[in-house]
Amino acid sequence: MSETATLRQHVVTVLRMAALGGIGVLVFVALLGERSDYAGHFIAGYGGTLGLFALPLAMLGAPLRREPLVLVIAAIAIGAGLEATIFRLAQFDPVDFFNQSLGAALAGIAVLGRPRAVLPAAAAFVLALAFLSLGARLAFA
Amino acid sequence: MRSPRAHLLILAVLLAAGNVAWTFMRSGVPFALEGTVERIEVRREKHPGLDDVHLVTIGGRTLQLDADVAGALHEGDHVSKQAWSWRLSTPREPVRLGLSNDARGMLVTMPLLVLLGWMALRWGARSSAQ
Repeated sequence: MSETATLRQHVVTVLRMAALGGIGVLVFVALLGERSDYAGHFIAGYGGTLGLFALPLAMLGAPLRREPLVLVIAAIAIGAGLEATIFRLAQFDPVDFFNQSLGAALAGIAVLGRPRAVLPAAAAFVLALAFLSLGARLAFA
Repeated sequence: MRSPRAHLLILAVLLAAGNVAWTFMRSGVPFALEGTVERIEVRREKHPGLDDVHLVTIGGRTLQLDADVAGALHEGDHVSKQAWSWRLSTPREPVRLGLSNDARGMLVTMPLLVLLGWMALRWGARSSAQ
């Protein structure tokens, strides 16, 4: 793989991470606009999971194959724990859980099979912060 | 079907289906109900009036129902319906059950998000093979 091709692959990874989350939250806002909390949970789950991928993306090694599924399951478990404790308001809301977990699954899809490097790792970290911030605004605004 | 791609897509399908199923169940349509409305409780969420949780206890069984359905009931009402019936008998007018805006929105949103994931998996396979 040439250096140019590698850079292009990393740019594709960054675009995939940004596009899946961006399009996903737009679909929520367009079709379930009055329930902005649904969009908020989705994009927070997506962003939080991207944040978990920043470290494995920065490490040397083969493209991500098995790691995404493992980290997505871990992210879903963390999300369930948060929903059941500090974000439990009226009750444990299965819809919030499904939305944030679906965001986690799409984040896994975004990075699955992608090569590792500092550029996509840094982008995953920055996008994670941006999407988590957007999620908080949408969920609590 | 044992690849991580298939697992992630199946996971997304299950989560999307869970959303559709849960928002549909809040209509009350799937349940057989027979008994007295013992308690109607409204719990506030992040956006009071918009995302409140309506818990209705009928015959000792507590269900989360859509606001429209819970709002049509009073404590002490005797209600009945068969499973999958769209009519809930009450001492007053029967309540016509229907899909909430949430359930209708999920019916469109969830398949679109699964489609988005599927397209990303196909595109990912193509671009990583280049």
